[in-house]
Amino acid sequence: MDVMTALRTHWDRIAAIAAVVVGLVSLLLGYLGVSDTEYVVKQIPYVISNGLFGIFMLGVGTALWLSADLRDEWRELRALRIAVNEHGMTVRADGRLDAEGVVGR
Amino acid sequence: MTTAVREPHIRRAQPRASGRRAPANVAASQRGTDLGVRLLNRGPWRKRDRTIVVGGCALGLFGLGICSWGGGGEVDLSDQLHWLVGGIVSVALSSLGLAYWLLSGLRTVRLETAGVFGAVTANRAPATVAAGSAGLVTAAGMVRYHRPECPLVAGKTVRELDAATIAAEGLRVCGACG
Repeated sequence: MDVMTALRTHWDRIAAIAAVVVGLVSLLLGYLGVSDTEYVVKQIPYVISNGLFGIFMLGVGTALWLSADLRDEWRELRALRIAVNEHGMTVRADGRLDAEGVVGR
Repeated sequence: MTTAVREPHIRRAQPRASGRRAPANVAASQRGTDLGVRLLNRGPWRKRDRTIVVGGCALGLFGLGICSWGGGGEVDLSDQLHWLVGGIVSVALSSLGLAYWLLSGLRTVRLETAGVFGAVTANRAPATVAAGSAGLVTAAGMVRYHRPECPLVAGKTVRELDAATIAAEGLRVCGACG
């Protein structure tokens, strides 16, 4: 799989990793900024900008990763349903399709 | 009651005539070119879901930016705390959008799962259970217990279960019929 194919097929996971990295860097910068001063009035802006933005990016990354899993699961299920409906696939006695798709255990 | 099954948009892309053989880990049901075209879709979300999550995140980012700018310009702690609360609310708002996105996708996946079960087991007889049992069954190799009419045990050789057996074997409830 070349780079462009990987980017196209796993764009959501790559974006998730990027968002988490950005979030962690933002949190680190916020920590460094807060620890650099002892005045609360100077610390609060770091909490708002770096801290909350870092948390926001971590949330975005998590949602992107989970949505990538959901998309993969949905594609697999949809392929199974199309195969069953249109190609008349049958179910073996052990609960598996006559192809390689496991129905469930 | 009628449940509307959502049918997200399927991109009608042209299949690639690469001639490559599908890898072994690709299910046979996915190897057909027609199916390959249908898999090139946007996932289990509708346009409304995308609008909500993008709008929520944009609104949250905008609010966070405003609060960051406003909080940075204040020199009084009590005024800064107001901006801090505003920032927290902004992040919470975007989090709600993200949560809605995930829950909506999960709901569609569950509907699709039910559709697959219904299609697969449409012509199969339910598992037979002897009279007088507790109405719960399992089959060899299973780690969950099911109702006899559950699609996952349809056509299988099952054994009856009672509460003591379920507890002793550590069986968990089926996610489809439980």
